[in-house]
Amino acid sequence: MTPLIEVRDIWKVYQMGDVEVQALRGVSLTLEQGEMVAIMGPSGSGKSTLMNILGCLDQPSAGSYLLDGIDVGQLNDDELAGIRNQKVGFVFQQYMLLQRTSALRNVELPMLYGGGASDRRARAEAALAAVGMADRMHHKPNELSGGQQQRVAIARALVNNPRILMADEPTGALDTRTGAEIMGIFQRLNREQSITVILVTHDPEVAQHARRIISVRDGLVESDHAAQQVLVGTHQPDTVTT
Amino acid sequence: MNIIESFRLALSALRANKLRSILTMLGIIIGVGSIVALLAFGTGYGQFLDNELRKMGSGAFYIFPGANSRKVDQQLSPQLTFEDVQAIRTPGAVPVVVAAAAVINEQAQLSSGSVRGNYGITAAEPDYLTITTNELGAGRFYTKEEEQSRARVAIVGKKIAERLYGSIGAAIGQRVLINGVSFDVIGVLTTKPGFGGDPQKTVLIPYQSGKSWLFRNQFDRRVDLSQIVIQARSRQDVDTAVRQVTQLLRERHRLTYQPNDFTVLNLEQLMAQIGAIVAGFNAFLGVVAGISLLVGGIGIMNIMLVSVTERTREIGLRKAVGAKRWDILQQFLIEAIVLCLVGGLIGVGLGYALTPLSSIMLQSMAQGDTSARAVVTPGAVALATGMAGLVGLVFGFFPALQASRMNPIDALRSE
Repeated sequence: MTPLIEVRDIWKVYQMGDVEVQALRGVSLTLEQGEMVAIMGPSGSGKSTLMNILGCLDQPSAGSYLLDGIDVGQLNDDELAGIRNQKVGFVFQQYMLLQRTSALRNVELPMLYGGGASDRRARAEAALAAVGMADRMHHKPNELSGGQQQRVAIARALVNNPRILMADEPTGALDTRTGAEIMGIFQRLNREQSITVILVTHDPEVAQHARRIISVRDGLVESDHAAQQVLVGTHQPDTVTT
Repeated sequence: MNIIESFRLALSALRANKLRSILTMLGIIIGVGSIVALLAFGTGYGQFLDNELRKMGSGAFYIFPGANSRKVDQQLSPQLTFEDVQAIRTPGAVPVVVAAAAVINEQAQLSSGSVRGNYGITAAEPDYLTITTNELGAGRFYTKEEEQSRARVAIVGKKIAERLYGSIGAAIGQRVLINGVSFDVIGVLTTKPGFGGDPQKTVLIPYQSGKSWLFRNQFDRRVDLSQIVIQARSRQDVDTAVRQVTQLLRERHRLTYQPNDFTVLNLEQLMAQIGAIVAGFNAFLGVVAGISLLVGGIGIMNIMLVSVTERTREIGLRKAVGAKRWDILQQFLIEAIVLCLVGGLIGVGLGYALTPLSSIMLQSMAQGDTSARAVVTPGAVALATGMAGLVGLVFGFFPALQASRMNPIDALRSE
């Protein structure tokens, strides 16, 4: 079986004025379906660049990236957008919800760009229920707490049934307890629905929730090893509502 | 993303920034409002001219004694007689002419009992009554027999009837003294006022009656009428008729190299000239309205650029979850178009609200004719709204293009 993600010797080079910045200098990675990986590294290490490329927001300058057998390096902007829509779900540190718009309509957003689905509302409701937000569907972001907003964002990332859940510092704006709840949701989705989860973080504690930790430094993979996964207690009623 | 969704989004974006939206739309509102008001004025004036033309007789033209030339040394003494009218009427003389009537226009003193007043009087052959528009409120027109027998019968204007007899109905069968000569009132004229003055303050009598009973001393062998009214077969035949009648009169007056000793007034031509002046004036105001739309468009573009910048993160997010370039382009383009269309609709309302003002202007140009009205046609509304939408499309395109070309990573990272 082909791996979900297969990265071979990718480079990313930016031209900043006269200076050439090498953000990635030959990174190779393989991720199987159902993994839960943390990508770690200090700022400037290239981990954000790697995340952008893995999430199909960006393309490598050199090297190849096969996602689900598709050579991402060969795609144009609109084709990349299609891949993001169907195969990748993003969760950001700042939630990135549309203000003035209800949680339900926020979750419906990816479906607006993925071909007309007649069951849009039902699917959005199901995704919200899956993250324990069934009773707050009609609230607007400013009526929700940070943790609740991040749950809505996770529901939005899930709604098109992606292969990959890409989370960029998902607990960065949350307190420890709420952060742990959010990490519990990721673990549960990974375990129960075998969604591949990629966490990007500089926080070792957050990384402990993954089963594999990849450290990036100076544009190269510094280390790549399995981790002792710290499970968030599944007994907590507000994290498991399905 | 589908179009309906984009419209819904655009409307909610407008609602979110109400004051800003209204201020932005102001240019469009004023532009569209003035276009609607101008077109209403133009249409109303066109209808007014048409009505006037019909009133003065469709396909009719007028001949007056005396030259129109300003060169005094070339002017001949005026000449135009009843015999000229008969010559024009002779079967086969001018084939495209179907009727011609001799007319005298004078002032006269009217009295009934102790009430008296000075009014215009028109002594005309019966054909005049059908060539030009004349409406009766009561009674009847005079006949060819009354014309030939120089009958002393009169049709008085409505306002004269009310002044002398109290009402329209009371006038019929009464007597009226015209310059001291007694006439029977057989009808009351209710024609609306127009370019030719107010028919309701005029008396109509047969031409021969006027000539022999009232104005014998005003005329001589060279001039025994004020004008000849001629009806061509159709509007298209007027030019031919004018040429042929002119030729006939020049022969009868034995003119060779001399200028005409009479003047032809072709109303169709005159109306066309007036119409052209009004159209020019309208075109000028239209350009001003267009400039207002252009300025409005620049305002739209400006605010759309601001909006795109403000919503960079939203654009980044939409792209991250799968929006293609066209999705983003369409969203902002429709927002600009909706902004303009809403402004356009308010502008149409404004233009509509301004039509009473346009009507007042129109009526002052139409010499107080209250039947002249500015008219807002569905076509004008469609045109003005369409222009507004087009402005949105044109001026919204660049900001929308800019939004669609944003790099999702940079857009997501922006503050």
